[in-house]
Amino acid sequence: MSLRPMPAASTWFLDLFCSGPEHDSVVGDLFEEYHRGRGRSWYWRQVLVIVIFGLYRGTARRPLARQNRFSEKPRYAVILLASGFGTLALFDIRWSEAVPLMILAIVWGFFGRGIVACWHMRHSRVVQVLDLQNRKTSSIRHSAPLLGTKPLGLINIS
Amino acid sequence: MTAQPTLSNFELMVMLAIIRTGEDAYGVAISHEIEETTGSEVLLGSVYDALTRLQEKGLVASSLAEATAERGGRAKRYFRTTSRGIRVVRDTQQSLVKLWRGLPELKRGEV
Repeated sequence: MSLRPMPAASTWFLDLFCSGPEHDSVVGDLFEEYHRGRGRSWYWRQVLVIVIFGLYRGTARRPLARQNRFSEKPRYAVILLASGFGTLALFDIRWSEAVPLMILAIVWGFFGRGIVACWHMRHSRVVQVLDLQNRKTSSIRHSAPLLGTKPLGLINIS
Repeated sequence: MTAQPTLSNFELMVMLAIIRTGEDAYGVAISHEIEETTGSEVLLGSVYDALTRLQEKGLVASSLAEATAERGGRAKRYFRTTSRGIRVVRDTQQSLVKLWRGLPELKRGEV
């Protein structure tokens, strides 16, 4: 008996993120169910959820980014993108509504940290921290004056 | 004495599905059992995520079985509840029964 071919794109996506032995059983179950007659949209939904859970658990268990396959920023973008596709598949949202949000998610995934850093550089002031224990002072950038608060132990020199 | 682990709603469903399925409790069978009981679609990824958490809590144990062509050459993983798992399910049931007892009948979302 010949088996129905697996959907190529989603299987490639699944292999990309869940090729390790720890995913063998869930991927095997997925193949088994698909060969029993489940549809392609069912398969896509399942793949996305397996990938999202796999990435989430993988990220939570391996805090050192250098050991992972992707560096930190593209990883966030991939997770956000997968979440976007997952939302589309699960809640049947129209592409026209979802695309701007997904673009925003990708931009934030890649440049979010840079945007926050730029805002901080623009709006912060240089303050000097007095370390009473070691009798030393050091300069840092601090954005608290903008927010109207003044932390204890800081002397403003700007 | 170690603290008794707690079960989320879905984890409890998975535990009960394993007990109901018996010897044949693997991912597909467990998700079918929950689907038939609740009447809503269950995602395999979420079932396996719950199973991983239950294994980490020591409430479920697993063993690998045969690989078949329709599974793409991947092995089946069978799950069974541990004695600790059974104890936690029983305690959860007792707590829920206690909470339920004495409640007035629920009608149209009102108490």
